[in-house]
Amino acid sequence: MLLRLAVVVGRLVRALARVRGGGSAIPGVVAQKIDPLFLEHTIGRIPGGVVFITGSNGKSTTTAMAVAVCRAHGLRVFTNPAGSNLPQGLASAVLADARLDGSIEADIAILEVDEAYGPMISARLTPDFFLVTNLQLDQLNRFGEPERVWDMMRTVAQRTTKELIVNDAEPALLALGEGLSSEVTTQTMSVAEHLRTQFPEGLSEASLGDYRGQTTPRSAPDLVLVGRDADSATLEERGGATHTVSLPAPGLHWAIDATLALSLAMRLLGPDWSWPRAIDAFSQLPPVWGRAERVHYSGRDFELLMQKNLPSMQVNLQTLVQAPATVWVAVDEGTPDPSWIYDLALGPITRVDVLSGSKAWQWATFLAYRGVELGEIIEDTREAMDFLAGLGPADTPVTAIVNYEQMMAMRRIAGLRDLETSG
Amino acid sequence: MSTPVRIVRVLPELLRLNGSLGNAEVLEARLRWWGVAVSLHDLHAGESPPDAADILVLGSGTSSALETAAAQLTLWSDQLRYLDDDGSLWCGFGLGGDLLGQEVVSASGEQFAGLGLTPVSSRLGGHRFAGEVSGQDEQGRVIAGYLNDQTIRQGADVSPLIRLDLDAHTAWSGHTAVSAEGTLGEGVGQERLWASALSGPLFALNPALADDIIYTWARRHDRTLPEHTASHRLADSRAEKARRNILDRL
Repeated sequence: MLLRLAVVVGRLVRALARVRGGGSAIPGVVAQKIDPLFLEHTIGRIPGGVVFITGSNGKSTTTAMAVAVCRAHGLRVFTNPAGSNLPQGLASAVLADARLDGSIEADIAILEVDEAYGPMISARLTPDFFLVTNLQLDQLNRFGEPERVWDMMRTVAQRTTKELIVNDAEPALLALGEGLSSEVTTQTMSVAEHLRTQFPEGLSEASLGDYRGQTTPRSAPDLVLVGRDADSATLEERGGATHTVSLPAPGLHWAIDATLALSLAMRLLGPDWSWPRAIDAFSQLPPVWGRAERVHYSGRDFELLMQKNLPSMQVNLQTLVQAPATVWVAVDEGTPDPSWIYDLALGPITRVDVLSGSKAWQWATFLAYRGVELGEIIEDTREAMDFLAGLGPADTPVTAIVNYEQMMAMRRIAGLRDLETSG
Repeated sequence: MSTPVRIVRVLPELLRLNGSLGNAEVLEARLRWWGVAVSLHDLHAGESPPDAADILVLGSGTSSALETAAAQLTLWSDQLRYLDDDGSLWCGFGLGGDLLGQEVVSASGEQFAGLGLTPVSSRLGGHRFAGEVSGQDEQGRVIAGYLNDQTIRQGADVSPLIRLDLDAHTAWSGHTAVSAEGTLGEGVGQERLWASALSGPLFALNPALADDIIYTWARRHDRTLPEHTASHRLADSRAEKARRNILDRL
């Protein structure tokens, strides 16, 4: 009874929120207030169990890839939209998909889970499979240090019932699998040595200075990433056969995400696995929200390049092969401490045309020490976009190096309101 | 041709968290802007410390780096003390600053000796503070930055680097002094040593601190530095606006 009420009221709130143009988490909050076991009563009853995907970076991408591959094999998958990875986000996603009785027409749930909320969510929904994309320096203002995030991941690993899936290039992630119950196995993917050497920024793992930084693999990887070019990744199976899948954007990190997603999907699908279907699914992947995406505003394209944290921004910068025509950097309170920019290699960027947001002057100071030319400081996002729309060659996009909050702001300014697009 | 200023980044593979080695970059850039040659040397674990160094910089690190970093510093302690006796200047940030002190105790209670250059003893853990802060240095100059620290620090007669605009009731255990007015002192400021728990490039936002170090080096070597160049003025005017923004937000 509580569950049905939660679904009905939650849906009403959701409809109202969508009319207002946002608030994707609020319906989930309301539903859980009404039925505190809302997630257990809905996602927890999906017959094929639950998969958690977490990590410092790439969890949205990897989730989207794994879901697409599984769906291409006919599996009915429940998932949450990119970034809606807290309990309320999961609950809101349920409201988008569930029947009035709370049941969800799905065979399995593949969920993107925030690393800090992993322990809380895994206490409510027991993961059968747990995929960790990476452990990198991220949100130090929130976590203090990556060791704390490792502890959170370890809690989830200890609650996982079947398999932990990680990249064996990250010793700290291998250490997550040490001492788990005998029913839980650690499955790995690997990155060929020549790729690790050629694109070191593609890994950017947090190096833990104790035993966790020394852990080595105990079994052979399911898949090895052996090749990567601008828009594809080549993978080698244990038997030696190789397969190539297309990628939504260049960068080793995309290829690693793809390899992890395929490793997971192979495990989930077992004898039903088909490489042609998987390859076809990858060829149809849409751009992941906020990554490798263009936003059109006032006659000009703005190409997003996220500055979420040091590793993600570094890999994004590495995708620039030449100096962009017009560069905009926008960062605000969503990045409380931008100190990490001093660890960045700016690559081909020799000029920033506009700096925006409340942290613009900190960026400006940094650019002075790097000898990078600076055009204007326009703190207001809309004013900056208006100015940039007419700056530089109109047929080339503005490279918008923005943090998450500024990305949201520019999307709103550009009239995009798809804040709750279900996966 | 005069000898370049030798800046040594100590254990950069372990002590470089969150832009803290940007402080070495700031020192290097400001010296170069003055036309002073700089040699930047990274001292990695397993290597031998150089025979001479003008400024040694220890960046911040995470808790799992403590054991390895402390063990390596202990191995180097004779050579590093020699450099100190020779008049080298020291800069330490976060864990790097703590390792300049008497000892650092891990959260699980393991004790590791520091270099003993400051009177501070540290213990990982305690009340964490994460947020922008402001304060004044010993000369009353406005300082601003970001504090993200979870350490307990104790020590007698510590001369703090920065007197923060945080009162003694603030839930943060990493202060090194409490003033008579009841505000918290942060870091350590000594004749040849600057240590701070503030994140990242403290010197970029507060270039007067960087210049204190450079002027100290210049005095010791009878060097006269000219007025700030246009590059100094550009960086410093931007830093001033960044500090003002922080003050406005507080």
